[in-house]
Amino acid sequence: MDDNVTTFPDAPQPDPKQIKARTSVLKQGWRFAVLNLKMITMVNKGHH
Amino acid sequence: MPATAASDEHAMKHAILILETLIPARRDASALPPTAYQLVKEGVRDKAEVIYITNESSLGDFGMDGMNFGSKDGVVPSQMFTESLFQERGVKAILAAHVERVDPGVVHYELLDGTKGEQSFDFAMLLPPFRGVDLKAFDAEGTDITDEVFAPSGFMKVDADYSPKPYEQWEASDWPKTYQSVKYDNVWAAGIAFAPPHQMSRPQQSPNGTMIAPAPPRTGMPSGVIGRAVAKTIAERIKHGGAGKVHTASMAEMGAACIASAGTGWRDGKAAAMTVFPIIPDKQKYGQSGRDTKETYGEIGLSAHWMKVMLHHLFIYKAKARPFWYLIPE
Repeated sequence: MDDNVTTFPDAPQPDPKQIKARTSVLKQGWRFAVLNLKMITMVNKGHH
Repeated sequence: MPATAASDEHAMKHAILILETLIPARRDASALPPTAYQLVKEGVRDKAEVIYITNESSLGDFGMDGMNFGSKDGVVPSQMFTESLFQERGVKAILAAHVERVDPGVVHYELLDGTKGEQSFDFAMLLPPFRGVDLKAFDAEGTDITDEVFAPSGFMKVDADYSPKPYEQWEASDWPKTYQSVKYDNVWAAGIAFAPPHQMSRPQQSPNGTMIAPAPPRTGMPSGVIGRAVAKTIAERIKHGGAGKVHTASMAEMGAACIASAGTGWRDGKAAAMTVFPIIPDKQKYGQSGRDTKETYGEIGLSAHWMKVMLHHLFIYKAKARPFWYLIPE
């Protein structure tokens, strides 16, 4: 392997609880609603 | 002939490269999560080494000088966010590299410190250079005015401040608002057609004089918003002539969203959703980070995958001009 190839061993990794939450339908349903609201707010804030 | 240990190892593990373009240009780390996902899905991830080679000096720069994502736990730099995503998926990187050339099975590059390197590969995806189409412009007398109309990158010069200045003096107000040509008042360059006044990321040069920095992104959402503003200006011009209102859409006053897919499926899909506001950092308005950390955030999960699917269908619906299409934002 090329010596210049980098890995990121110090990067924080998600714990098992966080990984599970990423596919929890209930939690992600809530995040979906929040994401939609946040994006609509951002779009309206920037439009002319 | 007996195979060597090295060639055996090579035969078992294929190097897959995601290459940055041959000139400083758009970077696309978002190509990595779907690549890694698809290899896992096909059951060959353990046989592949995925390497991302980029002109970004750090992951998460995105050609936007990086971002600070606001979260309930504080501010998370986009570098940490992206490095975490890469490490979790076992993706490696070669950073701050200018790709000089690609030969069969090997890519040659130069690093920021001036040293040269090469990386062998079995499969590679090369993102094409992001530049204008090198149009020539002539005035009524036939004089070549290409330099007046277009920047060296091939993009059109518009109402931006193109005066050369150091990174520390870059301002949000340098960026264009009307996208009207500097030469002709009835010509506009909407979306990616306009020449940016400068990069967003800190410019860096190797001792050999090679510029190694990503160009600013302006595809997708900004292009749509700019296109709408230009179309409104043209409509005003048709209706009211020179007295018509000039609509503006500065990238220093608008946000953008990006959703990078990291897996499909209604129950186990994943994507990384990122938003930024404003696109152009405004340090006078938002402090050192240059951006509103309430509107700049990133998260990974199933909800972002649902969002990507939803936007996919909404934008196709809009492109087909189905009923109430105009209610769908860019």
